[in-house]
Amino acid sequence: MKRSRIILKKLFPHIASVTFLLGVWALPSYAQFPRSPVKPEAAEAGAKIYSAQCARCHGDDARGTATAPDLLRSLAVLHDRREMLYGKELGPLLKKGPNHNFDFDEKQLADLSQFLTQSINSILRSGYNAQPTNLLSGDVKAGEAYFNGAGGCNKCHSATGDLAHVGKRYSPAALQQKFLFPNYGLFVRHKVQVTVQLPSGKSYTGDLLHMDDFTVTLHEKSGETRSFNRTARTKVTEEDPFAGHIELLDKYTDADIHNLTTYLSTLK
Amino acid sequence: MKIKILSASLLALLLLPPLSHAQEESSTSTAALSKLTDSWPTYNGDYSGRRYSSLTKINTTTVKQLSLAWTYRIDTTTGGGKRISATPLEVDGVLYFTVPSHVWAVGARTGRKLWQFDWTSKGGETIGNRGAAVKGDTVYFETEDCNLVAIDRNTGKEKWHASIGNPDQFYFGSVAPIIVKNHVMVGISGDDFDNPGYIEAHDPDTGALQWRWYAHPEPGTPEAKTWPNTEAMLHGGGMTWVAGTYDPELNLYYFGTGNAQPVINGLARPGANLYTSTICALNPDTGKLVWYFQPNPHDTHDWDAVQTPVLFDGIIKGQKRKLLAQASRNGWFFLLDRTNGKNLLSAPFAKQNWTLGLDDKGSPIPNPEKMAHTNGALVAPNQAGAANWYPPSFSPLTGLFYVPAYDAYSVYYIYDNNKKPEGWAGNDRGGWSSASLRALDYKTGKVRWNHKWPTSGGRSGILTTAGNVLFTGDTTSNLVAFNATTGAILWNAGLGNIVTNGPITFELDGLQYVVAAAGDTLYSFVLR
Repeated sequence: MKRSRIILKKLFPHIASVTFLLGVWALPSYAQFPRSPVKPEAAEAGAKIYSAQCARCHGDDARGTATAPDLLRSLAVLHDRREMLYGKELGPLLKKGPNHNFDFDEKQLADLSQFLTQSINSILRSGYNAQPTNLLSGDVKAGEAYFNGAGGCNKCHSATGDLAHVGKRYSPAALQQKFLFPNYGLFVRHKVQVTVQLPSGKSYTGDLLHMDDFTVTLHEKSGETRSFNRTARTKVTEEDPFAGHIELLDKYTDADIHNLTTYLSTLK
Repeated sequence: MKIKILSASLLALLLLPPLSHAQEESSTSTAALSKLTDSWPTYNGDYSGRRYSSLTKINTTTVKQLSLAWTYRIDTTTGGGKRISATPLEVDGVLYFTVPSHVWAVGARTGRKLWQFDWTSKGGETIGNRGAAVKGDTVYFETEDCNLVAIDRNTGKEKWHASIGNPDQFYFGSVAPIIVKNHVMVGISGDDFDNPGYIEAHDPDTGALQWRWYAHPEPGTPEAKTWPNTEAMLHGGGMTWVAGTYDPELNLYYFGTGNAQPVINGLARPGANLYTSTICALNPDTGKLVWYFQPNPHDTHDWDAVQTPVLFDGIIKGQKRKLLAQASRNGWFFLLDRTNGKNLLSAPFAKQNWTLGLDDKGSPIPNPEKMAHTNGALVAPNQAGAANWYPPSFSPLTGLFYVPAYDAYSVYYIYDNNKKPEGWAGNDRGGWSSASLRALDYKTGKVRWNHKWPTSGGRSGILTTAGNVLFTGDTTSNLVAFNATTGAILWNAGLGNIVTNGPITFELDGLQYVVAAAGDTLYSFVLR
């Protein structure tokens, strides 16, 4: 969450409006309060205690076993997390609960609490900091064939030209997103080009800044920003530099995507 | 400044004639909530969910003469977002609306604050609050820290509050309550974590819990076999994110339930996972399930099936039928017989690539290839969905069902391959989308007209009227009026922010108003 937000903030200073524009899948800028932050060193110390004392029954991942319950779903643990009690109410349970006889000190309880809080945070929608894995399971040869054949990528791109070393520049996850959605979401690079032809015949071309059914605003190469009313005889034409990528969305098979990702990642 | 505001509020309170008991009751009686006339007394205007007003002063000819009556800007919020996503209620000349932890009563003629209620929240998810309910002299709303709060309609002071969930488990309140007879119907939100969703009914006078219905079958029933085991079922999700609709004749309360849990990695919960992503009909007096239909079996895309189940009567194959329609987030339009839940039509209304066809009950069959995978699966629609919580509308005048529709793709990934995934265990990334306002023929699901917005962006709810006008927000910052039959644009007003709720209309002193929220501000337009 944190890292994604920093990236978002770097790309878009007006984070709230961007979140909204990106849609519901984007990270909400005002979710979950209060948060239950974790100090990594405390969670790490807690993980050691957990591993030595608790994992045998509750499982390596605290998600329970046939003999002991799931701790991520434990009401006592969830309460400790939300109220940030640092194990104060867990202590008595661990000391005198059924099959429990642990005399942890205050720090040990706090560390254990931080480990469990971290384990819960990491499964939440808002807690995710995970990256896709296993993106290089495709077939390099098939990916190359798609690049030069059915995908038509080589009509605009070259593996030894603009895409040389692309596998070095981007992680497989970023690479996959970039060829699928090159001008959307976090990757807006090149503005849609728009031409406005006025009833007088005069026309203006530039980067599209804003358009609705009533007005259009563009940024000319000269640096000038111009707005126009979209009256009946005003003609607006757009050219999306990435239209070819969007057309492919209806055509890709998932195998094409996996193969292409794997192939592009070899372009080191 | 503060003193000024306070004295203005006091003055407004003094100027407001106290409501008589009879007036308060009649404005929010079952009869008043059953058929929308000149007010807007419940979340969808009336019980049907159609968001169709019989008012006609604003029509395809006069709409151009709409002028700004007033604006009201909020300056308080909890949790960060100053976004009014509530549908305001208009009762006896007063508007009631909410954001997380706060409620306002504002004069509908003047835009002047009568009172503001501030709840001290202990925390929760504050993505939005969809609105309040009014019964007699009481205003009800949910807080994000899981309370149903009753407020005196005249003074703005708390009468009582009642717990509606345990926030430790990531439950939170956001849903507009609905009054059904002597029940305050309460939905619950929160799909961060693996808990069952539920609907509750509370006593309107005391707040006492009358019943709670969980969105999972009873262990041992045939429906329970749609889960691999009882533990998965009891942690299986199905939040009730959106206010329901009600048929007083059939005495059935209709609502959709949310996604199954864990959300994205569904490998450890094979089966249809009832009653998640399901349209349910409950008896509001007993909390017993009468019928169900599942638009989205084995949800692994966070698509839910919570979009408003809209109620209207129509002719299907020559027969008059009591119908229920939903344009679901998964891209499919469903038409049901609302007496028994029998499916009459299932048809895609937006780009979708995730099904292998329909089963014998009319539910789409999910394609395992289009569930999330560790190496990614390209799926349409994306997680935001073809539709979302933004209220749709049905006009009996045109016979068209209107929905803010998105054609969209994203890639779904499994991140957590644990044999017992929990929480989300994956997500979607990236995406392309194209936004439209879409008018569907309810009998066929076919698109009768489509207005593609020039750019993709925000969404908002829809209102239709007997003046044959449709109001909605575009993807940028305009409130736009359309001819509901043809889809031609008739009028617009730039509001400086995306319309963030469903617009409403009402009539006072012979004048018809239209009110919409855009970000932190309510805008009121009137035809003089």
